[in-house]
Amino acid sequence: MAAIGDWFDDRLGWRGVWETIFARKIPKVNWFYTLGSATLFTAISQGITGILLTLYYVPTPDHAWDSVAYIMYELPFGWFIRGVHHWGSSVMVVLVFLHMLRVVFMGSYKFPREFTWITGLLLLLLTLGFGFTGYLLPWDQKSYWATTVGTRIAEVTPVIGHFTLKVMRGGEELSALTLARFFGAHVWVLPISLIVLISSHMYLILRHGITAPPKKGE
Amino acid sequence: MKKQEQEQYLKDYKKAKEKGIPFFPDVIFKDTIAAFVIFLVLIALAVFIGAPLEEQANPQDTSYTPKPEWYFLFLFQALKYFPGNLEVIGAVIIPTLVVVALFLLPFLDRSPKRHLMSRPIATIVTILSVVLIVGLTVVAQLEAPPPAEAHVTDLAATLYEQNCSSCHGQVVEAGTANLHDVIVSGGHEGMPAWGGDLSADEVDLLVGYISSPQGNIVYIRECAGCHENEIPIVEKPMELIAILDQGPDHPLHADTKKIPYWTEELSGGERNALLNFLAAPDGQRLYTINCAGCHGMGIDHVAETEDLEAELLAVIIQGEHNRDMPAFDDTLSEVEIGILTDYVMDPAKSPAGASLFQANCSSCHHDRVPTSDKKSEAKKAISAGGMHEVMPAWGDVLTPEQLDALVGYVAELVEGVGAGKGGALYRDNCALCHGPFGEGGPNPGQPGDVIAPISTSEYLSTRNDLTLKQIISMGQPNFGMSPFGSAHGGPLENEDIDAIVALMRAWEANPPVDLPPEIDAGIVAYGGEEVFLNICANCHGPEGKGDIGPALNSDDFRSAYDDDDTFAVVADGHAGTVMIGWGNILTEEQIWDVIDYMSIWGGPQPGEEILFAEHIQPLFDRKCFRCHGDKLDSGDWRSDTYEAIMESGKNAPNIIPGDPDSSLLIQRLLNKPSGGGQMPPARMMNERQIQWVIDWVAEGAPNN
Repeated sequence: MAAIGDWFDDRLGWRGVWETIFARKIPKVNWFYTLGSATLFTAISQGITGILLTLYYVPTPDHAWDSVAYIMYELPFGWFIRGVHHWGSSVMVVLVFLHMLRVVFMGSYKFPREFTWITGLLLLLLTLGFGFTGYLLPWDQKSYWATTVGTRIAEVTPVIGHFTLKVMRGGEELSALTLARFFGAHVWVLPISLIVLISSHMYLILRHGITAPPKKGE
Repeated sequence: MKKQEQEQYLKDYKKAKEKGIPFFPDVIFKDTIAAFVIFLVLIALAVFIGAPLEEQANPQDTSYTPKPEWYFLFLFQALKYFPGNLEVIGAVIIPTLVVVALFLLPFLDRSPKRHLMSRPIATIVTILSVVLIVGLTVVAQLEAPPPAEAHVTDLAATLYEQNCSSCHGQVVEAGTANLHDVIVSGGHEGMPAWGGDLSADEVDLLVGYISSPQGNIVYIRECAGCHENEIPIVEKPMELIAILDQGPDHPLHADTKKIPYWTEELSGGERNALLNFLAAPDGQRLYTINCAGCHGMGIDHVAETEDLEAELLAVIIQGEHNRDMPAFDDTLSEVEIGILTDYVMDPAKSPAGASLFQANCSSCHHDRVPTSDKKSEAKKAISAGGMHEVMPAWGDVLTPEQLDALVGYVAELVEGVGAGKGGALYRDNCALCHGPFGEGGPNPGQPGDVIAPISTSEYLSTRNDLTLKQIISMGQPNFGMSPFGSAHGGPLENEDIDAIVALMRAWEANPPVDLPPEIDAGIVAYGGEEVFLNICANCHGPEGKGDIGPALNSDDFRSAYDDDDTFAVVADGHAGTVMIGWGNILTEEQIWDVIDYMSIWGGPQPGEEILFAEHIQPLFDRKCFRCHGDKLDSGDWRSDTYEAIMESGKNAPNIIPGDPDSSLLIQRLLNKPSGGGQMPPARMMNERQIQWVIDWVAEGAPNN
């Protein structure tokens, strides 16, 4: 057994990886410290259900709603996959927010973890970005009008407002281009950014370790 | 934080780590539990609440009240406090400042203090922010109107609003006989003729709206979601009824997302109102929708007073009572009466009563289920029979405008048909196919075929009396018209035929109608039941008890004619009798459908025990004996005795009592691959008959 382990370790160096990630000691922590990993779990769940949904989803105004209706009403367990994905977004926002509160209340953002905090904040913004872009995809009344209003709010920005609106919508009005952009952002740009940022966040956590809950007076 | 403090922290942290716990498995275990809880929560949310999907996006529908996902609600709400030019503050400046402040947090708060009680400012600001965000979300939830119901435009009301309401207000009071004419040509002083401005469909729509406001409400609720831009006004009530009856099965609805059957969705009154609205009723359409179901195409009414219309109006408004209803406590059990009572109270709640109603009541009540408010009264009426309502009080159902139009039409009907002996004979013998005024109609014998008018001056002036009499007397078997003359087996004597011809000649002088047939027969595909009730029942009675023609529901008939014999008679007819050959008129499939329909009478009635001697053996005699009898014994199996059915033939045992699925005979009746070929080979027994055999075998195939 050990021989096999050695054989692989010689080639892969897995023991080093194991010791760095798992066989390390961390300070005693409470249940609030599971919020981060729960968020990660939800993100993975969103990834899996999201990939399954793209198998059937068609990002054009002609077919988006029909394909979602197909997923909901005809595809076996389609309603379930979409249900998990839909609620996953809410759960993820809640978890990210609670995780952030934990970090603030425990003072975990302080030296030497400033960059962990910043990547975490970027991840919070990404999560909201996922929510905003994903909301349009079913192309139902709620999607369409909420996105109309949402993009219009961006227009208020001085100087670059109108430009931002046109970039988001792919023109003056909500159209097939908007849907394509939101879809592209939702399944390519944001997930890739998410992977990069989660990796950085995790690297920093490994590097600095998880904070100990501060004692009174600390 | 000074260098020194930083080093101190790192030292303390190292100590805490050494006193701590291993990441694996202790912390991983906690994380797994947390993830598992989240997993369960997600599944519960997906299963019990699910993801909503609203109507497809409609960029034209600007009335939709948008609402963002809940976690953006606090932003949405915050914007409301920065109206007009201030919007930029709420939309851009504050969120940007908050985000920037968050990013800078570690650099703003550089004290070495970490416990939340040691950092009162950070703690208080955070708590206030959370309270603010949660508060704004809650306020937004409370303030935001619920997502708008699918918005539909009330086209009929809009049309009324644009054209009529400026003079008539919200309601038109005037009741006149023909709203179409009034609208098209302008009814009275000051009212313009709308015929030029409005299309015929629009006029129909207005008439429907004015005369059946309830129908418009039902339409808006049930149909307008899909039929949003154009109301499918139909001039032909029968076509409309067919479309609505078929619901999701109708080709026009093939592409639509699951629409329900209207009988399941709407009460009888609502269906009526919807029809009256959509068919834009004039008298004739009203009659077709509301009356023809029971009265057919003619109404038998002898005027008792001078004022026929007033008389009719009174009857129609009040409905009628029937004194001849039998007492059902002789024929039905206590339980059956109970079921039937429940059914009458609310057909939707007690579907079990439908078959009882069908069997006992519908021959008089047709599809219209009489209703009652009091259960005890309903039960009494069923048990004791006697006087009770058969014709509903239409005054409760129709608007005054509709009643006027209906009375006008019925009066024409009664006068047109009822004149003298010829009229009565015509009504009894001819009107069913040729219409009350000889205007023709769908050929009940030939789906798709329309009987041309026989009352136009053109038709009558090109035929002399002798031709007309010959047609009546000898019929036109090729077109589905039986001979009516007694010399050819029909019910009419020569003087009767003379009287009918006299009536027709009266038409020639003053043709009663120039209406083309209202009904497009093409869309009605007749099944066995319809063919029987429309055609066969005229002579054999609706239940096959016999009338002009012999009884078809008797044991005598069934033992004399097996199904192939029956087919031959229907197809070829009996020479020299009223029974013409229907082979040229009905399709082979239709004739078999009729024979299938007739098989009701040979079997056990619902709830009755299946008896071998009474039900099964006769069925085998009819279906199998021709080949498996004493002349031929195909496969050595014989069908003429209980023992032979069970045990004869090379594949015996043929039936395994109690186990229909394994019984070879059943497999062959059902044409299962394991059975080795369908029996009877030419045409399977119908489902009902096969079910009798299955039920009988399932009960142990007793020889009873």
